[in-house]
Amino acid sequence: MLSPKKIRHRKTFKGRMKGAASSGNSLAFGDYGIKADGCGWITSRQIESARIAMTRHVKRGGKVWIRIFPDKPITKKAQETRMGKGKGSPEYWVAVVRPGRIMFEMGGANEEMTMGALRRAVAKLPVPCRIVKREEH
Amino acid sequence: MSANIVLDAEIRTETGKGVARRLRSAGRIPAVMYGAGEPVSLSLSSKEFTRAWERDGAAHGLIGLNITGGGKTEKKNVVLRDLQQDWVTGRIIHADLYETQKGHKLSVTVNIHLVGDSPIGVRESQGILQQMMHEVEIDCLPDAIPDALEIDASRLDVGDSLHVSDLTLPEGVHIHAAPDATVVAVSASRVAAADTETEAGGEGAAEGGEAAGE
Repeated sequence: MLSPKKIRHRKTFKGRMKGAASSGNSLAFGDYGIKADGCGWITSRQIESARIAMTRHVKRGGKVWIRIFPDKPITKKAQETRMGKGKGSPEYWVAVVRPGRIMFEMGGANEEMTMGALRRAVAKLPVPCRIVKREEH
Repeated sequence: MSANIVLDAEIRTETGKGVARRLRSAGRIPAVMYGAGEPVSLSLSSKEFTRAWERDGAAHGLIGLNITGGGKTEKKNVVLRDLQQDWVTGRIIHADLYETQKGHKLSVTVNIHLVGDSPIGVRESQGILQQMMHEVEIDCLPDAIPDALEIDASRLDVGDSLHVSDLTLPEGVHIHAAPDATVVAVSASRVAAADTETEAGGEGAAEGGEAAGE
């Protein structure tokens, strides 16, 4: 699963997800992609799950690009712990996604296969998504 | 120098965020025209402009503008220099138009089209065709803007690539990009790679290395 190799701070603030994605909002590599229509935290497990769903559907053909990286640590307090006594310990990693963000891209497979793969990946994600296609203008 | 696409535009005297928002809600797009003389603030019909951009190739070709304002109509030829979009809804929110001048070269971006059959590497070795560059910036005269640049990738085998220097250019066209920049390549697919490797190594090993994280 994806996680940073080196970090500056072990724990971060929760943060707020305001506005739309200012970067990573257009297709850069593939011909098809998954675009977020809402905001949310995508965990490294969800990214991995979506990637596996895609690669299994295209039977290892085609190429997948992951355009998000889970670089935000999320902490959790241990079970049956009383409140207070400081922040919990890091549990998992998430990528912060805002509306308009392209999360995954695919190329190299035919349209039917790619759309099927992307639909399966969308089912693994916790934010409303849309499948987008490269359009020539 | 005649344009295939003709649009109506109105000169707008008011500028700013509030004015732009009112224009958009009234079905118009705020735009600016510059290049020859002073910049002029315009507004275009959202419906007409979106149709021209999506279907008629306004993104890369010459556009004829009938500009009305101050009781007179003026005809100008422009190219689309920049476009601002709402990335969530896909709606166009602003357009930059560059006024062309006869005999003066200008920079425009044109699409790169793949022509010919599918590459040998894809047909015979199950390779993956990847187009790295979909459009390229060129210098040319306004009346010589090509619809698209073509490149034939049918002879590419696995591991082969074509570069900017392989593009067929019409006369009087000069490309900005480096000649050795890759336009299209055929890479080995994981199916082909798995066939050659006898040891499976698990799914993780076969699928690894494709994550292009930021």
